[in-house]
Amino acid sequence: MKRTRDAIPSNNAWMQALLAALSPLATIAVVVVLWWCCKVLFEIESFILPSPFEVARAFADDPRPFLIGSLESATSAAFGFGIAAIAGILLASVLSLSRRVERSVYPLTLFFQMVPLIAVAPLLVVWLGYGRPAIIASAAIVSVFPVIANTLSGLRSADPQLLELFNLLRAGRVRTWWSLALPSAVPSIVTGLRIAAGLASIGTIAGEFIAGIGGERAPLGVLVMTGLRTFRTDRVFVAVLLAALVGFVVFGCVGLLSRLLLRRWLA
Amino acid sequence: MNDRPAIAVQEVSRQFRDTRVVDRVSFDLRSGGCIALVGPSGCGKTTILRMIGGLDEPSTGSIAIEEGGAAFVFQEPRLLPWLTLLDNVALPLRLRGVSKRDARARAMDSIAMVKLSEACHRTPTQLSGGMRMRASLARALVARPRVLLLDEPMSSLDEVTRHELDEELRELWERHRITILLVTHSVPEAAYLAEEILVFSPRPARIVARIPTPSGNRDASAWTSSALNDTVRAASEALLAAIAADARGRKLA
Repeated sequence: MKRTRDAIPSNNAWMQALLAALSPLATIAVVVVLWWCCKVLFEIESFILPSPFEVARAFADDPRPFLIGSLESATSAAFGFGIAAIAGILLASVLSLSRRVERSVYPLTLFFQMVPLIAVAPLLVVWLGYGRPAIIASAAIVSVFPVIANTLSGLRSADPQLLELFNLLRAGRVRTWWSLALPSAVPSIVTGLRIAAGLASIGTIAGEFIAGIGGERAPLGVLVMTGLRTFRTDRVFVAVLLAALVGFVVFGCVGLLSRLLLRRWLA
Repeated sequence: MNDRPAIAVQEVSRQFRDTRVVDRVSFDLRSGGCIALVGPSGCGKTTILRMIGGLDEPSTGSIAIEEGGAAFVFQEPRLLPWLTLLDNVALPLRLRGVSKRDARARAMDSIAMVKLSEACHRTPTQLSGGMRMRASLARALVARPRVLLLDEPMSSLDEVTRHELDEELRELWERHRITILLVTHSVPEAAYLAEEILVFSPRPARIVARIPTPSGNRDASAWTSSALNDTVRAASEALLAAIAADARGRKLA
């Protein structure tokens, strides 16, 4: 059989990809082992620090509420992120059309960034009631600012030479925005969306702490609180880990979509 | 016959704060004619072109330009990196509200004029420097302008590509009789393309010589013809004399 010359390098490439995938897993394994060692060596009570096995068992014994909770939280995070993305891009675009409007409204959007979410969440309950709308609102509020800030700076980054061209071709403001400023801003917008994706899942869990409803379809934030109240620290751990996983998934989806989008821009 | 010139520049000066960049420049460009502005780099000839194109205003003097619009070709191709060649060329029409279909159809004609039809679905990064310049030229031609303003369009190209594009530009001008005003720092290019060369002094730009070029068709062999060489020599001498006079003036001051 004939062997091609690059058979060995491509094999190597495979190995490298495998190693790249394995090395973070190895780090996680080390952390889990350390965690277990601490627990055993210092004889820590399970309600303070459950062992990795106890956490795994807590999930395996009764996975249903955790899976439902993850789905609930992921849905809220996705909606919150979507609203923040659309509202953020639109608001930044409106702001960028007029310097004066931008100067008067931008500080207000900064306020959104500065206000502690935990302090606003009770108000969201007052306005939207307990449950999903308040949770989505909470996710949207924390994640909207990076979208606005990055979109604005991206819209301003359009090449002055191309702006001159558009000026020469007598393109109106809206046309210039659509055909020049917005496409130029895509890389910055994507950066903003990536940050927002991470923040949206944090906002979701925080919102659920305050506005979440327990019961059959309790989201992860509520499962954390119930675990605490019933001294089931193992269940708290499961919910926290799943919350992190939800964050990863939302972040990963946005990252994947943005890579597809950017391929055209960076090509 | 319409005797009014396509571009009439009268006593135009341009002052940026304390610096005078353009000093009382006057010339007429007949409809269908081609004039080249030649001068040392940074002398202000681009400023003259920008004022004619409406990108800048003269401080004093007046500029009249034929109706029907002028198209500008910049020194850089200035293509939108996220659009294909076809959509880049169609852009001026799209910005005027022409439908996508019509704009693309007309863009294809314009792309054919610069011989890029094969590459129309590529993005600017997939084009060579010469192809990008052709694309920029096609974009300028797409709205069928009466006047074409070219600002050192070939300056970033290599010698061979430059010659090739100069020959095609001359062909386009002879066939379509577009009025062309060309800024360049290459005297041979000016002599090859234009009917008349205006030689400018170093800043502030003043016309120091008006040199007509030999009439008649140009083919590739024209580059080395003796008539053209005489023109090139005359223009170069005028240019060097202006630079020398400017240097002497500076030394005295």
